[in-house]
Amino acid sequence: MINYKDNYDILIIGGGPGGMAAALKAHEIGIKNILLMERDNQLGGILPQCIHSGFGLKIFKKQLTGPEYAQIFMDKIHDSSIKIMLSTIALAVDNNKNVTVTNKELGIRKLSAKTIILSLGCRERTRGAISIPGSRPSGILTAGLVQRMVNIEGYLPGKEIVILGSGDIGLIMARRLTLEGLRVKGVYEVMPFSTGLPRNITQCLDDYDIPLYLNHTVTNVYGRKRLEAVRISKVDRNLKPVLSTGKTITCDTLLLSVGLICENELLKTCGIELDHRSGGPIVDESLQTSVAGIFACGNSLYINDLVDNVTEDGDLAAESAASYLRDGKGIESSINIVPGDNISYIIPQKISGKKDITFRIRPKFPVKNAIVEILEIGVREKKKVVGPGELLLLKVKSDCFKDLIISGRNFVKINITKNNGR
Amino acid sequence: MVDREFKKVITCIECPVGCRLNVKYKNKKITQIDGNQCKKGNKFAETELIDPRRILTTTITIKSVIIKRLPVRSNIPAPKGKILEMAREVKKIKINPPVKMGDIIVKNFLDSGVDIISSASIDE
Repeated sequence: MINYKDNYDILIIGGGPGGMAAALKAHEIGIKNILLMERDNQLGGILPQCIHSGFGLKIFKKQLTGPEYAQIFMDKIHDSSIKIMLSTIALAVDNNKNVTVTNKELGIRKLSAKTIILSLGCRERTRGAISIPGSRPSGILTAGLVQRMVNIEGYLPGKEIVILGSGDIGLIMARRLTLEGLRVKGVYEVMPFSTGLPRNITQCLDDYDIPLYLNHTVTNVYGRKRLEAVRISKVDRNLKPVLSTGKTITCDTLLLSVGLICENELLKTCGIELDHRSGGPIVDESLQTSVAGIFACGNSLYINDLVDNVTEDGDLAAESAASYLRDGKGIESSINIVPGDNISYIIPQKISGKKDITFRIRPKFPVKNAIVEILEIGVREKKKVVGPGELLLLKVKSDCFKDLIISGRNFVKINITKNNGR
Repeated sequence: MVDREFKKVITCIECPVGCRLNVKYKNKKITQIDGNQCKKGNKFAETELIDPRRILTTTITIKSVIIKRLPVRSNIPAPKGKILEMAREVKKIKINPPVKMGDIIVKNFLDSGVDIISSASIDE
C-alpha cells in the first residue's frame, strides 16, 4: 500500500511534457511537497507515441525523437523526490483546490493542495465533429489513436489507408504507415493550404510519393461491417463540397487528422473561465486561471505545435505556483488582450503590463510579408511569413505598457495585416 | 555531359521553419543558393543534392509489461534510398528488457553505415 500525503504544495495533473517540466522546475526551486499524477501507466503524455524525430531543437539544440525527449525528463523525475501516481485519474477539481482522484490502490480519494497545475493535454476531433455522412463501419479512426495503436500497442489499423486532414499528425502518420508496409492512397485537406509544417510535407509525403489534395474532403462513407470505400469531393471557395466532382476511392481505413481540442472537462468542475477561441482556460501572464492558485500549461491551455514551448510553459506555471505559495496570492492583471484581424487566439488573455511578455499568437490564415501590430502601444513588427501551422511569438517590453496603464485603458488589440507599404 | 546549370527548390527540413531554398547547381555542385534563413540550409542543400539522408524512426517488438513496441531510430541520418528496406527489416527484431535509451540494437544495420539504437528506456 502506498502512503500518500493528502495536502500538497503543488499538485500537478498530467504527466506529459508540461506536467513533467512543472514538477522538475518546482523541485528545482526547492518545493518539497509535489505530486505528479498521470492517467497512463508511464510518464510522457503523447511523447512516447510520437516516435519520429524533430523534438527539442529549441531547448536541447538537437533533434530528438518524442520518446527520447520524454526520457530525459522521466529520468530526472525518477532521480528526484517528486511523488508520482501513475494509472491515476482526476475526476473532479473544486475551487478550494480539492482533487477527487481514483486508482487501484486508493479507490476514490479526495486530495487537497495549496496550488494546482493543470496539464491535461488534448483530445482529437472525431468524425462526429465534422459530420461525415454515410454508413458506420469499423475502420474510421483518429490519427493520434492509430499512432498509439501502432507505436505502443503493436496493432496495424488496416491495409489501404486514406487520410483526411493534413495537420502534422496526419502527415506523420502517412509516413509511419508507409514504413509499416501499408498503402497510403492520399492525404485530403479541405482548406486551400496544409496546416502541417513544410518540412513534414517534404519528408512525410514527397519522400514517399504520397499525393496531397488541397480543397478536397470526404463526402460519403461506404461499407457495412468494415469500411470499403470513401467518396471524395472538391470543395468550393466557401469550403462547400461540389458533389459533381466526387470520386470513389477504395480503402479499408480512414484516418482523421482534423484538429485537436483542449481537454477541459476538469476545468468545468471548478468553474474556471474558458476562452471559446483557444478552447482552453483564460490565463494571465503567469498562466494562472480565473481561480486563484490554479495554473494551466501544455495542450490543455492551447494546442501547441512544438513540445519545447510546452516545456517552457510548464516551467513558467511552476515558477508562478511557487510565488503564489510564497505570497499567498497571484498577480493582478487588468489589461485584456483582444484578438483582432487574422488571429484565432492569443495566450495570455490578460496581463498586468508590469512585466516583459511573450504573446503566443495563433494566426488564422497564411500571410506573406505580414505586420503584427498593437496600435494602442505602438508596437509593430514585420514577419516574413505567418500562418496557422506555426505559433507566432511576439515579445513586448513592459515599458510599452506604461502610458496605457496611466491612461487607465484596460485592453489592447493585436492585429496581423499584410504589409502593402513601400 | 554538358556543364548545364540546373535549378531546384528544396524545402529545408533541419527545423520547423522549413525554408524554401532556391538552389542553382552545376555537376552536383551548388553555384548559388538563397531563401535560407540560417547556415544549416547551405549544408542541407548540399547533402540533399549529393546524398539525401533521413533519420529512420520505427519500432521493434519488446516483451514488456508496459509497452508492446519499443521505439528505435537510426543514430545518424540513413541514406534516403535505403529507408523503406531498413524499415521492413528492422521490424523483425525482437528484444527483452531491460534496455536503455541510446543502447545499440544493431550495429551497421544492413551495411548502411548507421546503427539502430533504442529511443526509450524500459526496465521491465
